[in-house]
Amino acid sequence: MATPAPPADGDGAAAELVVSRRALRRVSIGTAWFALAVAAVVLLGWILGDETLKRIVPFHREVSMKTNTAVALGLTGWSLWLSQLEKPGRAGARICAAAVMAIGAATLVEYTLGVNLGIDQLLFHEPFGVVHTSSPNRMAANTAFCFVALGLALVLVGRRAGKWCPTSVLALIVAAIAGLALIGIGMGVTAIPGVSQQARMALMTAITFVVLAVGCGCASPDSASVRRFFSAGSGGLTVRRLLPVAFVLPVALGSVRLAGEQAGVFGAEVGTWLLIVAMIICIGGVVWQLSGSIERGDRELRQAEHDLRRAVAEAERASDAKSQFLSAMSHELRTPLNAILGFGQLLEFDELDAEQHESAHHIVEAGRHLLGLVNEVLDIARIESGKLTVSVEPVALGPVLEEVGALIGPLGRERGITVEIDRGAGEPWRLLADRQRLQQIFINLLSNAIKYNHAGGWVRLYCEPGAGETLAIVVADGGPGIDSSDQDRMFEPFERIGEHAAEGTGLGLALARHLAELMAGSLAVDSQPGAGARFILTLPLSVSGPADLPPRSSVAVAIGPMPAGASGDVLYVEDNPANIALVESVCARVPGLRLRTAATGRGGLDAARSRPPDLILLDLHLPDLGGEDVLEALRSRPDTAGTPVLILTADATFGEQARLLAAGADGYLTKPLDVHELQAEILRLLAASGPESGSVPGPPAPAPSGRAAVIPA
Amino acid sequence: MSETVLVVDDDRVMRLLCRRVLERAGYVVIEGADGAEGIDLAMSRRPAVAIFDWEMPRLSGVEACRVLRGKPDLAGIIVVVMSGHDDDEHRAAARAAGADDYLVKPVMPRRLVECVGGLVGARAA
Repeated sequence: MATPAPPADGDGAAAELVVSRRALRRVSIGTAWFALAVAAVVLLGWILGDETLKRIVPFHREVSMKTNTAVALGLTGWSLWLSQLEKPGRAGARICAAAVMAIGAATLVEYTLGVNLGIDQLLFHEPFGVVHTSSPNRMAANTAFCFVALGLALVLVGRRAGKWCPTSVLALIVAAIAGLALIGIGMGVTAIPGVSQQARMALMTAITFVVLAVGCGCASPDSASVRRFFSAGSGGLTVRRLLPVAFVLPVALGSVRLAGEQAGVFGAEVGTWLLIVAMIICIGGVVWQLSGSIERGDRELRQAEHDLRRAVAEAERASDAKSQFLSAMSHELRTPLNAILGFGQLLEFDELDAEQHESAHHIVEAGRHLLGLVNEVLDIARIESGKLTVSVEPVALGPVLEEVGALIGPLGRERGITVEIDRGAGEPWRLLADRQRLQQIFINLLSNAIKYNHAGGWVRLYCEPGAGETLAIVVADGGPGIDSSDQDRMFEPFERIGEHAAEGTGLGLALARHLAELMAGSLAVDSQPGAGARFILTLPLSVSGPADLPPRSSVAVAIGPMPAGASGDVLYVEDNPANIALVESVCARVPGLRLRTAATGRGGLDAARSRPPDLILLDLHLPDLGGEDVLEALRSRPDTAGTPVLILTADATFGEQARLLAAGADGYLTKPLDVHELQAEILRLLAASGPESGSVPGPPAPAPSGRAAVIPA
Repeated sequence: MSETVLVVDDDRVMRLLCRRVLERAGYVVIEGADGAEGIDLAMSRRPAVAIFDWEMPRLSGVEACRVLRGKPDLAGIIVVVMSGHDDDEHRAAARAAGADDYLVKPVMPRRLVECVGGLVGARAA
């Protein structure tokens, strides 16, 4: 296939193809013009009666192109040209293509039925016997078939039938038929199809068919064959190098052999031998040269991959360095902030005049803002380095929203925004979440909704059951809304939008979305300019858990976000590291609580005997002894008989619970543990165990009276 | 009688801040500039509470806490470690060293008073 090399143009060859679509379209249009020009010249020849113009090529033995062939070639070119315009004339292209099909089909009917429909001599009369045709001025049968195929190809241009692109398949068929004819004509062989004495395809017709087939192929740039041919990979390279050789080489060498034999230079045997040797040398050389090109490509690819890996490693190192820098920076910023916030607050507490008080207030507010930024930067750095972890546990939504409401209320009142928090109309929703981080997300969404609002506007938080076991918590506002182009951007760190841009840190939403995703949830926004915004936080619901347990003692209610101090020595007998970590973090929140752990029942008993604790937390499933046996052993010894024991276990029936309590357990909690319940239980049991072993000061004011009053809340 | 609080920090401003806050809350405040000095003061003055900054030259706050916990006659002293690191690793390390509480900088005046008051109250009860 003599594919003309498409001009390489600079307007961006597609990544995977060596030529652009525009170049392919130019090739198509070029072939269309070529066909139109050939048709025009031949028809001119018929008008002037000039035999050379009818043949175009000045070979003595060549036949002339028939008038219907010229007309159909012209129509084909016209159709192709119309289909490839910037604004394709699809209807016109289809009509021309249908006409081409009709001409081809009618001629085939004449051949098969042996009738004369009178179409051959319609335009020009050719005397019988001038050339070897079955009927005067009738195109060859294979030419007629090619027109049917080409017409169909152009009717279907731009369509796909499953994996196949019909246009390129039909174009290949036309190219094959015309190619066969060309080989025959070129080698002077007449006893093959298409070159019969009765109806032979004209040389110029065959050439134009090949050119038009290429044009049709280029007109379907999405077809697999065209993509393969122009692929930038090794496959494309192979096909572009070898296919022309496969077509041209045998024809060229065969012609030489034929000419040599006819001239009597060598005999048939020598001719065959020479042909084989020449083929081997030529094909071998081309393959060798091709393999070099492929090798070079592979080397470049490997080099590129190596470079890419290095760049990725470099980027990761840079990212790590950035995270470390941000972490160190946040830490270093805390020390000066300490002085700003500390002394600023002391100033606020002093007796100042109104102006001084306002100045001190501004210092403290700016310090708080900076501290928020430092914390958020630190969180973002942790997320990016994968170090931020959340401890997901069943969390009752109601109390969290109550706290959030108390924290956010002042901001709403200050801005004159009505904040309504609907806690789900008595639905005791329990989420699987990190309580502190959940609160952080709510504060962030609500304070954004308040800040980016109209004067006197409203903000509302409500819950909707989501898909599956999820809950959607919606923060809606009647503010100015968010342009769709900003909606994705605002979840990126340090992106701020709107007129209040200077107010936020630019990190809050990015962090909130990260946190939601860490908790296996999502955070989305639904907004239109002028119609407010809805931020939708979706989190998994807790389906099991201690939701059925009766409400705990009033101590639980008294535990605020900052627990009152208690002191005591707590021993936790447990073999599961995850549970130990959880209880450790709970105890760490209560100042004065010291935690010891033992991984086995015997270890626990030994620890309890060597230094009697103020409280024992006991897992029921231990590697050596059963929890009940440990409980019994503890109760049987005088030094531990009175020590309160809190049972922590995952699976126990109410009957078992009663039995354990009868056996001397003082409390009972089921896993997954609710941090707040656990904390409340620990404090309750420590307080109950008497002043000699542990104590809890009266909540919630832990400071000695008279002192707390010095620092106003 | 007012309780004595020992504030050990290499940062003079931080010591001053703690002094101002704690003195307003009615405590007597003594200051040390590094871990070693802190331990000396703890032994000679026997404060009710010793607050150690984590990052200090010579002896870090956590090391000082560990040294203090190794002396049985000083077991009654409440030890608080403060640091700019707000993460679980640092908290756990401070607890392992025997600290009674951990304060993250910046330490708000109210939080400092609550912390010291809570621990002193719990110990006295």
